[in-house]
Amino acid sequence: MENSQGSISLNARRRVTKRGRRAVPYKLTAPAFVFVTLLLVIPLLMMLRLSLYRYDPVQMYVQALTFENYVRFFRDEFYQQVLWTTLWISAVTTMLCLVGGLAVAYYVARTRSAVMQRYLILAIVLPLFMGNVARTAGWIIILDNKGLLNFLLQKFDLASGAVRLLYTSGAVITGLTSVLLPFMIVTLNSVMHNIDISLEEASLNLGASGLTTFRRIVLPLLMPGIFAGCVLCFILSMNAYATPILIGGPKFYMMAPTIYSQMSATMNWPFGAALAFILISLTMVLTVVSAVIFNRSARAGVVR
Amino acid sequence: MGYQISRRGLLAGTIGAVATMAATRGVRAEGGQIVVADWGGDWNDRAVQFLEAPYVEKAGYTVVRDLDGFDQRRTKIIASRRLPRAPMDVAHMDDATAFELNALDALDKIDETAVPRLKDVIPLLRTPTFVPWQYSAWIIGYNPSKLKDGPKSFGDLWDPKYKGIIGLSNEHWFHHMECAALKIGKSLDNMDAEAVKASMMEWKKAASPRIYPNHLQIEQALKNEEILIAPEYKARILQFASDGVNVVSSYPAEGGITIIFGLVMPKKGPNPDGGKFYCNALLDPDGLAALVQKSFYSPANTKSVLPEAAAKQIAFTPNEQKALHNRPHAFWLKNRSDLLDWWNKEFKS
Amino acid sequence: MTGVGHIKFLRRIYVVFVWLVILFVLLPLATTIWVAFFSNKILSFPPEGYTAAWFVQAWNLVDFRNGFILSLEVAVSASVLALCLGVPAALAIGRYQFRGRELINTVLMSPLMIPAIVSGSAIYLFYIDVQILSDIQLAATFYGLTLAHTLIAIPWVLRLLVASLAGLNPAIEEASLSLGASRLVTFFRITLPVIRPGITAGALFGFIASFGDLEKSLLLVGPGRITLPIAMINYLEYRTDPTIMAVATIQILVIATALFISDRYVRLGRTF
Repeated sequence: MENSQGSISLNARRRVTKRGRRAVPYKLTAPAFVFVTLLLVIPLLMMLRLSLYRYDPVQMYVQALTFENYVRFFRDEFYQQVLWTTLWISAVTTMLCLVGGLAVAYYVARTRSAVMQRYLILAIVLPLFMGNVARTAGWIIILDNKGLLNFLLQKFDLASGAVRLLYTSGAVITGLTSVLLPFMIVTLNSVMHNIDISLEEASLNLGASGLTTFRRIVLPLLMPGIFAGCVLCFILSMNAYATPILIGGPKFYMMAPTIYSQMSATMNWPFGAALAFILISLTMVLTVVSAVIFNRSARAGVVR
Repeated sequence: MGYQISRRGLLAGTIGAVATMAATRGVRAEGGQIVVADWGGDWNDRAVQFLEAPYVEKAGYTVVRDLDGFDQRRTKIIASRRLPRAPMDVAHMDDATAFELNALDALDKIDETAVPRLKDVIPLLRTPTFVPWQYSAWIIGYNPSKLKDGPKSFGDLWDPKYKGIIGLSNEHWFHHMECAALKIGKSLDNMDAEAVKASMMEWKKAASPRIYPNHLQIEQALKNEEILIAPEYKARILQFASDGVNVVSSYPAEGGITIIFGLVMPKKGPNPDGGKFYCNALLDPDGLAALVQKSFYSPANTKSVLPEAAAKQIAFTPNEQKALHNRPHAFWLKNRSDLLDWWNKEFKS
Repeated sequence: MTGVGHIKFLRRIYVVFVWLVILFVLLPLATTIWVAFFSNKILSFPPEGYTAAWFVQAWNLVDFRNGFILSLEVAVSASVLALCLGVPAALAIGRYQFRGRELINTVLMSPLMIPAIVSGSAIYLFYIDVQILSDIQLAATFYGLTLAHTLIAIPWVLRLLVASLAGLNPAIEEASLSLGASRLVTFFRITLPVIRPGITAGALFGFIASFGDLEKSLLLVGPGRITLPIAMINYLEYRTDPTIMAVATIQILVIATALFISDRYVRLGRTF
């Protein structure tokens, strides 16, 4: 994300620290770093330790050093399927967010009317303030058998009976995309601000079509934003809890709800902790790998 | 039928009530704060309206409420065992979790010296660490207009003529297995996991029950007539009916499965005397009688008198009461994890 | 030329697509507000009639009122604290090249990576252990809750501020310094105005992240305290009547008003 920004720009916008002021960045980052380490890193390490304990039905867990929780995951096709579902749903959602987000972000950033631009952005950001639970509840009303869509379908004779829309993977993707789009739009929009409109105007003056201008001028400059937005949407989707539970239904399994279910329904904290770390590790690995690929292709001059 | 008390009983009850109030008035000088953990929503609102406000807060206590999901409540009690002080005095619980917490040695014993009204409570529902409060039973609900010949026992649910019209709540997956156990063995005392699994798969093949997340979706499905039969708590069935859904209760021939809501006191609570007072106050027969008419559960206090119409609707007849089965908590504690896995993987797929 | 007509058509499709996407994002909001006025006791279409009764119900339920207030208090405190911690860190990461920069950046952004349920449970257990060792209670307290929410807010402050810093040209600052202004003056009169949109955006998103959080707060709320999302999901366990939609609608109105007012002062359209 930020690193890719620095790696791409030709004039290094970052100061190399002079001797004597070398301590400054460390002093500036120390408070936040200590805070996050204490409040997140340490508890997570404790949870990692918990994942190595043995599950006991009555005592909840027994101190031990065992990998059986992880082994259980790798042996069990069911949980692998859960992880796979989470992965492909997240991938599809991210792609949809990207397509929709690009279209909207470009439109909003380049719209002539300043008033329109201002209020459009506010309108897009507003749903974020509602929180996932309330937004997902809105989708339930729309997709339910007695909900808005079914009502319209039947009213216009497009369907003879109630069509099951809820509790399908399509519904989950729809809900997640709707919830995550504003994140993508905002990320892209902030990068759009830094793109000089005169570049596009020059391109159009030289005879290129709008589409070509977008494809060859804007898009490459947007790359850092695209990457950042995709990573964000992907992570949020992998970790999603409220939407899969409310829209996915009892037979739909994604990782975060499953983790919670293990911890709360069966009080199997060691296994739940193991699942959590598998999810976190996978997400981190995918993010790092894509960052490496991204940086490498950027440096190779794909940004043209 | 169920709740008739003689005039002498009424007199004795009144004296007892006055005596209790006098006794607790003495406690009012201490008063203080009672921390209570409960579910939120209507459940808590009714407790406050009918019992906490008139009998606890009026007596001078301040009730501080921790309203959250049941999973968090259980986790907090378990996790706080090692703390010098528990985060709450009284927790509203169901019987299964109370059993589990007791197995973890997290609860204080409560007896008649601490909570005098316990002596009026239905014995079947009591344990040394659990104060029963309201109870109901897992029975069968069905749509009487669409089904002239409704199911009369859990075993009936396996009948192929009900294919596709039975709805099951995913949240209560364990009850469905208990139904299977009752169908096989007439008792929940020696549940055999393998036999139950086999029976469940037969059920799946014969009647293909549909699965919904919880009772709210069951209610919707019954209303839309997507399903015509749903095993549910009697209290829920009555609530659906009051919401306008066309459903009646059918007490199964094998006997219903109890669900008991009550109170537990975690060890080392901040105000144990306040906690005991609270438990006793919540068993107030009149307040409880008024409350259950709203909640549709049955009162655990035998001294609670319901008006006749309500009694007929809510209460269990003596025969029905005798046929009730308590859940096999020890069995579930041992097998819960595996059976939940099986439910998720084999039955639901 | 046929080319022009072709392009006009494509452009029209593009605009229609954009508006469809925007509608798609706003649809749940609009539906929520609409349904909040239905008189149906169980949520379903078509509406049997219209009523404002659910709003009265929502207002009367103490949980929702208290939840709203607590969520607000925590969100504001968390974003302020996140600013105090995050702005210096963002300045360092966004403008300096130093050893360990990548590591520090990753650690500070990590709360976004971790599923909220996991971090919530981990923090809860950690608080318990802290209490056992030191007798300081953090679980079920306002401070414990705020600290956990600050954790979610920091990555947003960092991310948005660093992105905004990328547009800052150091040449201007260097010019100011070479003209004799001190570091502090330069910071307040040159740097700060430029990054103010980034700070505002970061604070706002920190607020959003905290206000809407459900999973992290589940174990950290306590007696007498409840956050709005938890109050909502508790209610959803019992009833799916339009009351929940009324609560959401009130929430939308309050937030929209707050956004609108802030926009007058900070030109929000520019910060995102």
